[in-house]
Amino acid sequence: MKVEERPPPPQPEPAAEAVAGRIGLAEQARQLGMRLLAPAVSLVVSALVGALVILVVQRSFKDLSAVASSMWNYGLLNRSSFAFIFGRATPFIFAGLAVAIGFKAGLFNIGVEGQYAIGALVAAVVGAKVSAPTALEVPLVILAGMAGGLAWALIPALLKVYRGAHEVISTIMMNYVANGLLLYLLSGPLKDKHQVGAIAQQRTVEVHDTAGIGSMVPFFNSIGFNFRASSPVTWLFLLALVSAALYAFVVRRTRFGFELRVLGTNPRAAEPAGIRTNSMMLKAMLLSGAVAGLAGLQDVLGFDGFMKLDYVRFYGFTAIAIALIGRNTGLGIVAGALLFSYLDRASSGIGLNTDVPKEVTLIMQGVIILTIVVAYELVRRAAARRQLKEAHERA
Amino acid sequence: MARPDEAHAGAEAGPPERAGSEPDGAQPLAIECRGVTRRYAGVLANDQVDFKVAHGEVHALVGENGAGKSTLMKMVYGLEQPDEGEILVRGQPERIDSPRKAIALRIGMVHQHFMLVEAFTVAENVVLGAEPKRGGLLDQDEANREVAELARGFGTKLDPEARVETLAVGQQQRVEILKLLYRGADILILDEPTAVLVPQEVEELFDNIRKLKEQGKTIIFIAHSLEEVLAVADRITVLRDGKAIGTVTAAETTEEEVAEMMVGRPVLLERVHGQTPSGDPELQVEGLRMLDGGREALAGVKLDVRRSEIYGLAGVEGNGQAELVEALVGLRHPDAGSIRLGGRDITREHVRQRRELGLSYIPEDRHARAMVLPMTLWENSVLGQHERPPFSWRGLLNPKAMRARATDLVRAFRVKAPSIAVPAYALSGGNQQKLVLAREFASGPKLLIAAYPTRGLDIGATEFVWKQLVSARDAGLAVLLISANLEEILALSDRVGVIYDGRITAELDGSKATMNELGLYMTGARSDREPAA
Amino acid sequence: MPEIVGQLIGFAVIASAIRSFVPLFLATIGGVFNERSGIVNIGIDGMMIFGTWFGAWGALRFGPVAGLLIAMLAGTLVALIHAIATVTFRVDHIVSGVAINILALGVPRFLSIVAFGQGTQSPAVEQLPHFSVPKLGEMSPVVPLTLVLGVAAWYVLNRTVFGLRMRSSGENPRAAESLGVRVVAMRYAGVLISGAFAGLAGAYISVELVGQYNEGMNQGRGFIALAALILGNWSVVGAALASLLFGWTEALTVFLRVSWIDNAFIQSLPYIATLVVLALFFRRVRPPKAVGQAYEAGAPI
Repeated sequence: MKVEERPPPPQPEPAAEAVAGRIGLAEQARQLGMRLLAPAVSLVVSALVGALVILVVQRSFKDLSAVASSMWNYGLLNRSSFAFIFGRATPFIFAGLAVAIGFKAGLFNIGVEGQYAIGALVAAVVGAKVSAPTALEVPLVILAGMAGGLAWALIPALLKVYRGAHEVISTIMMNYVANGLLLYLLSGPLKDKHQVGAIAQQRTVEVHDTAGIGSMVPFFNSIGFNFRASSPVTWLFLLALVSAALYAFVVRRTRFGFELRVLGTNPRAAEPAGIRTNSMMLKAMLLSGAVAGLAGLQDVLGFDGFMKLDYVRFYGFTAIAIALIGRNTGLGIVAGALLFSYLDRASSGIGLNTDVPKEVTLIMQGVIILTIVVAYELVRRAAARRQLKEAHERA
Repeated sequence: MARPDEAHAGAEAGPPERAGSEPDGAQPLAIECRGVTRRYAGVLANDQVDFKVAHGEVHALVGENGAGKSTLMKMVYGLEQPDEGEILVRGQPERIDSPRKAIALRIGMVHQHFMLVEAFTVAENVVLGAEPKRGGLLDQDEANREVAELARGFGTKLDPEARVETLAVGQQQRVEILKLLYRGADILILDEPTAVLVPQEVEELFDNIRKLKEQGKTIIFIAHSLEEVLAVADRITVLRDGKAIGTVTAAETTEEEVAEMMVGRPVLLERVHGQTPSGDPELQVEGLRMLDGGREALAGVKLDVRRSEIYGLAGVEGNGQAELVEALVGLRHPDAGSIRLGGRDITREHVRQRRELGLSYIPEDRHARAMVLPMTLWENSVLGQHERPPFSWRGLLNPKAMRARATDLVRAFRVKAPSIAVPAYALSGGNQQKLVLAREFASGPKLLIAAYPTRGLDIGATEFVWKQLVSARDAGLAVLLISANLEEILALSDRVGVIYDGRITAELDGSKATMNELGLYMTGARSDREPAA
Repeated sequence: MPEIVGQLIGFAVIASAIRSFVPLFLATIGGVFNERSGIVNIGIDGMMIFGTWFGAWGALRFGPVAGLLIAMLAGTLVALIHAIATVTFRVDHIVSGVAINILALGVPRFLSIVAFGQGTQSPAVEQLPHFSVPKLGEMSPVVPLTLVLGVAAWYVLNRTVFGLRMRSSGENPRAAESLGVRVVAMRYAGVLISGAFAGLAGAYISVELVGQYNEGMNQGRGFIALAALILGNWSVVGAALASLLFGWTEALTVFLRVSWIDNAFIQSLPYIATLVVLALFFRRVRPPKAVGQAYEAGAPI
């Protein structure tokens, strides 16, 4: 294509556009509002569904109001409610962070169940075998717990990186294998043979006193609360909060967090940008497992002093729900964990004080998860559409 | 006396006044658009377009990127609806609200990006959605038979039971055309059909088009290569900035005239010569081999790119360019051979090391591989350099430095963005590409691998990028330019290499090579080098 | 060592393997349908769990046949939730599947308390009349039904127009839509079919295999079915072979006794087998090209 040249008419130079460095305050407030809208809507919907279920099943408004009042009184106002909620939230926070780390990298770690079980086991064994002053012993058992969780995430991590095997399936399989392994170990080689009492439990030897994590009740009572002395909240709660803050910092402010986010958001852009994707995926999975290993520590080190066979189920899936609700942010996960702990507490109250089965809160949990993912998606799409429209209008 | 078919555009000097071309009134027009307008969020994609296609003619619709050709045709095919105006099919006003309706009106469209199910056979692809049945079952034999017959009818040999993924691009295009014929389409729309073909394959396509015309079909095709258009079209309509500028008869016009109508001002595509002579080789590739699923994608590539040089790599897609780029950037390791950058062997080094040694990369698919759309502009502006100071220090990010860099890039390349804190998807495609280009230039590279760098950019942006490439080249940059736009390659390259079947089969002087020559090498009809042992 | 041979391939083992094969194969067929249409469904396990519950409840109230049918209906309704979330709202497929699984952990317990008075098991239920097979013992009529369904599934997927269109929705939904295939409808169909099959599979376990509902009785079979889907390369025939393999490992958990391996590990055999399959086979297989990707009908191309 060859044509004669005439000098092109001079194009008007665009005025030096002041390109904003940060988003304005009003815009930030609006974005925050949008972000809170989804969980708010989800909570309302799930409360409605729960109410509907109670009405349909029990056919009585009296029961419905009994549930509501119990959720308020026993759930929140009871003198030890907050202690229970904080204590219950501790493993949820760790497990939620573990899942979130995976999500940030684009991985679905459903193996938190198995990872925290193995982590708790390793911590219990180390706590029983090794004796040292508290200042050494406690960090040691905590690290042991992390090591156990990390080890249990190793096989799925390797399968994912070197075989492309989907981690959903492999981590769930590891959960079932962990069940079998624990059954074998706790009724056999690791069983505490020197137990006192008529019936021997399937559990490990008690850990040394120096491995115990103390209760946080005295501290809370000293700042104005009035918890019963036996309320189940330990210093691991503080560790959980600190971990959440650390997580938020790492994700937003470190190079590791940046690369993790790139990998999770657009894996195809990661490698051309110089990110070592295989190494990052491995690190993310292993870190996720290690943090998951912390979730079981409260039971072992804070309450029982040993690892027993019937550890609490459902941490793993609840953790996923918490990470989703919390949008994988430190603050959100803490909030989500507190919410689910509150629901647990409320469910005990419902069981104690009303005729309604306490499992109704399980239905609410399920509905929360479903509605929240739909709500987030809708909000995200509305926001993206608005952005695009504004961009076109400006262009 | 026919009056010019010209929508009066703005104040700019328009093309010279001449009589426009009108179809004869014997038969109703196959397609007529009257005052068709389409808006996208404030942008006028089509502005009061009048467009007439006569029955049984081959009509070309030309214009620069973004002129509105695709949009107009999408409305004729029912993929979009006009905001104003009407469309008449065979003289009757119609509301074409879906492709299903268009098919019912016997209009068919072959898209630029093929819509084929690669795992299915040719016959399955052709009959999908209108399958011959026996009971509820698919009558596979009948399908195969009908497809074979249709293919014979328009002059191609295609095995109906061949899986589409095994076919060459030209053959896949024919499958797309068969889909239309199977549904009885007699108005065929081809969207940029020559974009993926090499000059010789283009000739075959034009033979097919002529044959279809003999059978009484009407063909509209969208193009922006004028040489090709003049070879086969009867009449040509030019769009510019969403408006219909005019319609001319191919036999009565010249490339220059049409080009002027397309751009609004006469354009010169002059070969731009570098001011600085080429220096020592920055990139040296020897004997590069790579297997891709049993097939030898790279069969012993040897090339080098020197400082202060633009080396243009021409070739039909699928001859090894993608694999070569992956090996050079570090996304895949070759099975044999060596790559040296600035004298240092980087064959097995990770992408990060190569970037640190001065390699920069503009990927072909910028959305997928060069940006993270949901992340902010300032985060995307340092992607690939984020681990270096000043953006990172001892593992901690420095957002302030990243934001400063983003502001510089936006200013330097005139990227239109409301703020650097918006997510990247808030930018238009062209502006996203500009940001990627700006980022890769700004890293102070020694070697730039640019894959299709001006694809999707309008002419102003394209010229800007060319200027940047040339001035960077003059400042010492070594550039490996991969492009499907032969004009671009011939305009910018100091040397042109042709890749065919996984090898460099020719290296020509950029100022002396011709398109035809390149075409011959690109199809393997000619080769300067013996295949490696 | 004649004893271990008997434990590996004796008639009792084969019979048990066939019984274990049935729910796995049914669930995997369902998985083939939804994945070939383009939707990932990791909630199959949850749908099976609902199947186990509703199968038992239905059998208690209305008899075994009704139990199976009600379970299929329940599975389909749960699948409808997944379909709405993934096809209409375009939520991430895995996330929605996880949500279904979480629901399946809590809701049956609640339903049990309401229906059975306690959370974790139901009373014994009436079963379908079983027939006797020489050497293999008693078999439920669901076994031959499964084979029939398998053949039918193959036929529908590979020989009907419906099947062709469904497969095209999973390979290249844009191409399909441009030719008039209603991709959204195809994907809904795929997911709902998968729910029905999962429900039936679950009901078979509670009604025919065990004779009552127990919490957790599904034991992760839904996830093993996903592995069977991959191992079988997304085809019905492959699903059958893979399900046979996994069914056999399940049978081994019952019959295999080796003195130097603790029983707990033998119980883990199916899960370890799954991991091995993932390790060996994942990269060589070919999923539907567009599976897992959100699709918006009518979006500008």
